[in-house]
Amino acid sequence: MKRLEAKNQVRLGPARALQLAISGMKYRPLRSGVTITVFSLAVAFLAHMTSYSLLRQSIQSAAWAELEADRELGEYLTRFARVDSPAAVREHLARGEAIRLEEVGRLSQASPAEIAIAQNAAMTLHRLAQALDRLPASERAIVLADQTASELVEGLDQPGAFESFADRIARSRARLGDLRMDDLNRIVVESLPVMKSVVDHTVAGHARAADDLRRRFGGIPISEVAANPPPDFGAAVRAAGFAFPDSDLSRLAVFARERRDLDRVAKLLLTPQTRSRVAREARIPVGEVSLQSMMDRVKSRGRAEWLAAILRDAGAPPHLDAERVRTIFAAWRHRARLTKAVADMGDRTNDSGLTTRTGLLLVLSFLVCAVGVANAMLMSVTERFTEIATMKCLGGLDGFIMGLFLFEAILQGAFGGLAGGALGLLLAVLRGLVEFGPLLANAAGSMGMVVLSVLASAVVGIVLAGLAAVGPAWVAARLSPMEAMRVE
Amino acid sequence: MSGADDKSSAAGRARTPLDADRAVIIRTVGLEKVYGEGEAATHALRGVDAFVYRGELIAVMGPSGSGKSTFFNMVGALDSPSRGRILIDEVDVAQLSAGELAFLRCRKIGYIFQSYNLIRYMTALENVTTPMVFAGVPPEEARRRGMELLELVGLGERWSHRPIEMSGGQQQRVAIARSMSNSPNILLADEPTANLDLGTGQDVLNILQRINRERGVTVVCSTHDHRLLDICDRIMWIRDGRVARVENRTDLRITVGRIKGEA
Repeated sequence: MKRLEAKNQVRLGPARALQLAISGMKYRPLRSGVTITVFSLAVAFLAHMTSYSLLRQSIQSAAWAELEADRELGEYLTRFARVDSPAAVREHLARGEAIRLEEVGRLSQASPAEIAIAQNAAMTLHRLAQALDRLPASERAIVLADQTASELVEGLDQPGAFESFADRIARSRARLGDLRMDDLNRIVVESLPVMKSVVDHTVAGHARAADDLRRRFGGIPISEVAANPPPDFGAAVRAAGFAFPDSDLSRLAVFARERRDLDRVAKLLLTPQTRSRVAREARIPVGEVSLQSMMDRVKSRGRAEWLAAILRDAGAPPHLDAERVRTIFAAWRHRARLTKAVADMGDRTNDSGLTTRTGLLLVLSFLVCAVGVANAMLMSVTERFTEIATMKCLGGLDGFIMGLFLFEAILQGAFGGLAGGALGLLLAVLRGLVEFGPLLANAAGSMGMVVLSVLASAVVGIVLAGLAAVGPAWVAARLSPMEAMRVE
Repeated sequence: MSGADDKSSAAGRARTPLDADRAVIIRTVGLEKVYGEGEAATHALRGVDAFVYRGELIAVMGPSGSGKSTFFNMVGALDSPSRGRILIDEVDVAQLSAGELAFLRCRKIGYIFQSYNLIRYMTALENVTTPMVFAGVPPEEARRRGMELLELVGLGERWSHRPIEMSGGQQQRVAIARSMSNSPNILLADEPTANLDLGTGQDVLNILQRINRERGVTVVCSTHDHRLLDICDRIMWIRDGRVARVENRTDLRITVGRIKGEA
């Protein structure tokens, strides 16, 4: 019996494979088109989810930052006139913000050591209150009885209160995280009185400071002063004991002016003559006339001039012209948009990324993509069994046949992937426009990441196409020609 | 070469004796094939001993379900037997690896199928040159030889046409050209004229005969078509998975009526 010497067998070169793949696709434009469409839809889904998440995150964090800045400004105005409650001071201590602690120090005139003790106590008690809130219902019933967690915590320095508390903890076998009873006891006994003293002094100091400011500015409300602040505003405020950097002054002024003007407009819109006039000229029921409804309606220059004229007739100051009306209304609408944007922000403390909900959605879309791709590949390979058998009869090696299919799959994956990526990005941008409107511009900084994620989705699609094709192609390549033809 | 054919064996099996002067290119020994298992098992081949001389044109005939196609697939190394051996040029085909089988199919055997089996998205020339590509022939030479072969079968001007633009007969002729791509020793034609009308069928048979006579290629043709009897050297009748009869054409007694006007 002779041996066969198989020599000069040809391996598939990439150029040839590409050529075969393209001619194969050109011949079956419909089938290839369908396959590529399926790929691109799957990839678009994935790309859309990822890029939209990134866009939304970026917009939301920018919005949140802006809202925080505004809140800070609002807080200034409030606190210059109104005294913090003891609970608020305790919260400042517990939070530990540097600027607030500095203020507490100034207002209370306590020493740094005392403040440190007070802060430690505040933080621990805050954690205790949180731990108590997290207890299961049965244990809470025993420990708290008919008090709230904060009431209990505040009353811990009363004679006998701590013993009673410890006793109830023991009876209910409640676990308070990593807080230990002897630590708590020590804090209640040693630190709590210091903290209470610091808080009381801070409150008193705050009242004094607010008085000082009132006298300093001749009885005019601080919000008015801040709207057109004198150059020594910052210094005066600091002298009274508040913490206030000069760099915040201009922003505060703008903020205060806006608020003042909006208040004025609101008041003017309450007077009966103005209301009926507005209602008549705008052809709406009188009951509908309000600051909110005017802000919704008055956007264009023309309308602003109309409203400004009415307001002027009603006694508005001269600077409240059409331009000003438009500006403050626009600012308010912008703030409303920001608020809406952050409305569904989940767990903000997770800075690096995505909430669990988004993560789950991504995994699901990933699976959908994989299934879509695998299905398309399987259909494509199955209907070509005869072709494979023929190739084998002509001497095609198994590797050749597999390579052919893989190449075609990757090529289709590439087209579909890029198309899908682009589509997904487009959809994400559109959706962002619909949901966030002009805020979308805030996401411009993260566009780099977004494009990257789209490319990554495309690559995922291509890799999946290749992987999905490997299975069926391998099986097909390994069939003997007769078996392959029998399947048909 | 064992004397696998003993004339005095079981009655009813008349064979021509093995001519020791002629070279045997294909030999099967005790070939069996079973499909399915247990109750539903079909014995397609029940022990076939056969041989094919080098350079002859042999027809394999038999009714449907006789195992003719199965035998054919075995000989062409397209399927593996349940038992027995197939020796092509004294090489045991069942022992070959996938790569060696591919080599065999590429260079030593040419296939012609009933349904042509051309690759639909390739032109006629590309179809013909595909086996050459597998054999590593450089593109220019492949094109040249491909055109030659297409002209051999009379389709020189249709080299750029795709199968969908050709009639059945033309497609089969392209298939024949393709089968001769790497100048194989053996051509296996599985019912080559079954899907063709009388006239084109005759053309195909003429081409096969020419290839056999002019180039000395061994042609094994499985067929229902009695016109093949005109051109073959030997006939093998298969029935019920066994070789019923093998005879030389010269020994045949044919009584076939002819209808007036038939081609």
